Amino acid sequence: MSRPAQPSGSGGAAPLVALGAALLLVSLALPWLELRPNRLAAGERLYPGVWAGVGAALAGGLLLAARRPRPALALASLALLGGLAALGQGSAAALAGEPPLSLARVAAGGGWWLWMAGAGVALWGAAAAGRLRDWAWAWLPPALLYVLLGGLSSWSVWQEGRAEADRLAQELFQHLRLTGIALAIAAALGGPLAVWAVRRPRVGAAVLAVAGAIQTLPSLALLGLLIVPLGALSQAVPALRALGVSGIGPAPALVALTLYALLPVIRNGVVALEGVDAGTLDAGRGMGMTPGQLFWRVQLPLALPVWLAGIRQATVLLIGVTAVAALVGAGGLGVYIFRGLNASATDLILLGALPACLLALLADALWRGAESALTRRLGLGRGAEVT
Amino acid sequence: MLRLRGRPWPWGALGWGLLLGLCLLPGVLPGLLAPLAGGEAPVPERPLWVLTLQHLGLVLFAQGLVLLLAVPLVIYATRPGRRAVLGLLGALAGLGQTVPTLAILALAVPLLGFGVAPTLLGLVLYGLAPVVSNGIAGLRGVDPDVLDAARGMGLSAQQRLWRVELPLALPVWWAGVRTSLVFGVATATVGAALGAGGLGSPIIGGLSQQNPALVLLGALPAALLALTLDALLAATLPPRADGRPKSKYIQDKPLASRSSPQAPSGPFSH
Repeated sequence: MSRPAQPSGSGGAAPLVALGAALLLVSLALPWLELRPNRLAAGERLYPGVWAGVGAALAGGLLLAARRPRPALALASLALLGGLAALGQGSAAALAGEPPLSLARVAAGGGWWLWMAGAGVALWGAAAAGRLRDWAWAWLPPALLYVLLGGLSSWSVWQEGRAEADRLAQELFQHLRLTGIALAIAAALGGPLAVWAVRRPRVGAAVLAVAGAIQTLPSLALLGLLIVPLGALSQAVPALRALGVSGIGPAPALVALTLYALLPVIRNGVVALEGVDAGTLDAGRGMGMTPGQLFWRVQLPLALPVWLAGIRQATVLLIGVTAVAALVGAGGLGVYIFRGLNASATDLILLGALPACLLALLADALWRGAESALTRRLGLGRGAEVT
Repeated sequence: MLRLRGRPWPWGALGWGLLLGLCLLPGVLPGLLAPLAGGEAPVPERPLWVLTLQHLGLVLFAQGLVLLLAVPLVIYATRPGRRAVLGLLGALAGLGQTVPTLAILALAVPLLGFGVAPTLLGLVLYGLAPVVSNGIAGLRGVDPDVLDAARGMGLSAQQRLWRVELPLALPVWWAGVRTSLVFGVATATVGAALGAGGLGSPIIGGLSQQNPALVLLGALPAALLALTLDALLAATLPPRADGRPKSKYIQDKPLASRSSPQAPSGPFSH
């Protein structure tokens, strides 16, 4: 693939845009869609055909514009939207010839995924080169509009989701509920523990060591280790059994999730509280603040943005672990992933995996937004970020 | 406290490793777990030590691939004039740390089929994230003044890389390898659901047969393996070249602007 010489001004963006364009070109030679007679059977591969000309023109334009961020960004956004529309319209067209009650489905093929990846790489390269951060998301509103208007309704994953609509909503809610409850418990436990750890360094070291060791355990192993003790507990205490506590189901999942979330919450809490400027605390003391006032009005607010970073890490982590917890019968989106694995049904896997990924990315973005809003309100400038 | 060439004895690695060794002795763990299964010792489809070696082998092989990919990639991206590549790499590493592991593993199955392959792909993709992001943090965290001094002493770009940047970045980078390796043990455990074998397979088998003893037979060694590896890597964490104390629980962050003046003393000694 032609790769332009190392540019001087654009900080190495041209190769990225060119790489994206190259991926777009390669994708045109691969199958974009797959028309299957039913959910499982292999099917007929559909290539872009005459549309390959349009795609090639787009990729060529991108290649020519590789050094000019603005046109490159526009072309890459167009490629992304075009890919989405191609999936929607292409799958609808492929299904149009089928009888009304057929089980036929249209899945996205390797070519389509590669096209979207190429468009993403080019988009990133162009946006980074021209410092066009705001315009890098310009494709999102039309894309969302297209999806919400049912543009993808003939896509196999969409069909799978429609057939499962009630159950999918339930599992999504269960996923959010497990993550949310565990996060709330971890914050309620971890907050005071972090404060304690800061005041007593020896205790802090011990608490962090234990939380760190728990974090080390493989999620599936921790879930497995909890089955026997929780099962015994529910046998011994009828009140707990009445609450639904048992070795299998949401109970071990909630315990494991809470334990996992403790480390980021406590660690960032300690870093955040210790990071508050000693001069500021001295000033507060000089103003005659009591230790309680000093903590609630000065130390805690100033520590909050960094502490929130810990909550964000915990949220993202928990969304991933909750998916695994479906194995012990806790429910959540992992149910579809494991069902899909058992049935070798790619669409079912995607039905669980795509929402789980989007959920994690969304949670990450929301907490980041909260962090920067809080940082701005506190007038701290750019917040120190603990990763 | 006993010290080994200036560093504390790796009690954690020894202790967890010893426990793991005990669990792997034939008959020990099944015998201990027999009461949970009504007196009948749970039987894994293969001896536990075989499963453990399989698990460890998969994780270490994947980590080797990760290092082979990540080291040149990070060095390439952190050279001057590659801001966009660096940004993309950082963003991809962030994405890798955000996307659920199970999603990556499961999505690899349609591409590669059941078996070791999808787990290996997941291990490499997921393992790259901490190694790449810590590599970038480590190399970018090298004090610009130190690099200036090295340039002033007439070191070529390559000499600066090998004698200054890499030694200074090593502690942070190694911390990333540790994270990656420990996550790898967890990822490989989940990989048993995709047919990768290893210590996850008794867990998966025990869950589907509703046999808690079989679950524990996999879960205990898997947990001990992760703890042993973590302690082992913590014990081998290279001390910071600039004499700043290493922090075990607070992930290393580059502290470029606050770098101490004695920083270059090590690499410049010859």
